[in-house]
Amino acid sequence: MFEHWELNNLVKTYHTKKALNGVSISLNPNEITGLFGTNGAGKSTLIKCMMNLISFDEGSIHHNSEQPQNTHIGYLPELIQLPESISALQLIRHGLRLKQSDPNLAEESLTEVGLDSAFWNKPISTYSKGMRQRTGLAFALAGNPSWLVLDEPMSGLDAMGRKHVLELLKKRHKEQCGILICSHIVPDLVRLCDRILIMAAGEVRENFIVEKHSMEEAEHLESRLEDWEKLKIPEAITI
Amino acid sequence: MSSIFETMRFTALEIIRMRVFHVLIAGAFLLPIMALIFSNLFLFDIAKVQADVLISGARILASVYILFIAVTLLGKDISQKICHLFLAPPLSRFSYLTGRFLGLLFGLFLLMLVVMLTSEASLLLMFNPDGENGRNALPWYTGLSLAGFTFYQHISLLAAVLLICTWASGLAEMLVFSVAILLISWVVPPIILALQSPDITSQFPTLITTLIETIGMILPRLNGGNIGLALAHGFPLSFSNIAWHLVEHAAYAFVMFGLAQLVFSRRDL
Repeated sequence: MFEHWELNNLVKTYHTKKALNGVSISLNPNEITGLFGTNGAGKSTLIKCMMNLISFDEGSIHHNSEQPQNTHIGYLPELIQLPESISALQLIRHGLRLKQSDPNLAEESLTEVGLDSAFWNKPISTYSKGMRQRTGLAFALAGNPSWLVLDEPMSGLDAMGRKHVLELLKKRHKEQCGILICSHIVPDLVRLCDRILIMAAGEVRENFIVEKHSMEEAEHLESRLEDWEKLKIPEAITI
Repeated sequence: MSSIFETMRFTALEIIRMRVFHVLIAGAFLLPIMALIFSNLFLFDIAKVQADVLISGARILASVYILFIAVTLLGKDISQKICHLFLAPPLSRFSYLTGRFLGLLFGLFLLMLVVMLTSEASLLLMFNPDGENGRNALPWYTGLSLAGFTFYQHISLLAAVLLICTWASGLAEMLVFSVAILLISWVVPPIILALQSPDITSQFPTLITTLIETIGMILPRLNGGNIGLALAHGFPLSFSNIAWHLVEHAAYAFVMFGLAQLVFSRRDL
């Protein structure tokens, strides 16, 4: 069950600053889409608007689904915070029950993200940053969501962990799961994504199609972002 | 409905695993001992003194629960953005907040259940109705009704705290406003009640009397007017008094909960 997202002319203003300035994009579940940009470019704001966590001033978001009531979106927020008193296993079981899936699949989800089984039943307050990130990722992946929206999923993970997550996301995509990923780590984005949207000053500036998934493309992407940042158009973003 | 029930279940699980909750449960077990020690300082009406200490202790425990468990849990959820994890489709904001509220109510009920049982057990064990002290006209269900009454009264306060947490912007702000509403709910209603006695109202103009009555309606009467006193001392209670008190608290909780839902559905998280 593939679903399309259509975002039309989204505008979001925080006090006097326009965080999103007329963003229009179409997200296709057949490709992995990346969001790339500097701090304050509007990536997380865009994702929060999509997840209905914040309101937007203008524009519209359409989520074309055959069965909207059964739409499951796995979301991993930026700077993940988890309930401290419960264990990862209890948290994932809760996520599965919310998505009306079998709670016994929790162990499978935790194994999939590589969380040490010795910690499954321990309170989350005892976890390291990387373990919390893996738990959050397991929560997002649990229950076979039709879309994954991931805001900085590699944050706090070591090199092996990042590689593992990249492989995992590729596998999920092959299993017909649409993915939108936001990250500052360019090589990871280039290795994973089919298309990368460069954001600067609240606008999508460029639609970059990844063909070779190579380091040259990563370097090119960084140079393109630098070009956009050099434009410096404060009048356009401050009202 | 299933997502509300699941969120309630998860909230209850979170609460049960909190250390503060364990401390409160320990406090509920210690409460009859404290009441016993305190009541033995008196020569007469020992059972009534003990009942007074039990109802005061139950209220303190319920208030501490609201401040240290409800505000902390909801505050962290919103200010530290823990709720972002749960609020992805299919869970709606309405289901989430309703489930959280019901879970917090369940936690408070568990605490008050322990208070009920320990209070009733201590009164039953200490005061043989046919013995020297007797139960000073306290009926057999005093311990149960004291804690049950306290639980019911605190539902409206919990709903008020829910509204504060959905509206305030940070944990510190939530705590300050929750402490304020708690103190006001304790302190102001008895004064308002005293000001509404016929001797005093006869000396005020009608406008002032109406104003006092209006202020009295805004706050939940946590002391329960004379109901708490009557329960603790075995005085007779009229059905209309109890019914009016129950309706007042239910209506207050309903309005606060509705406002909380309205605010939460519109705020940026």
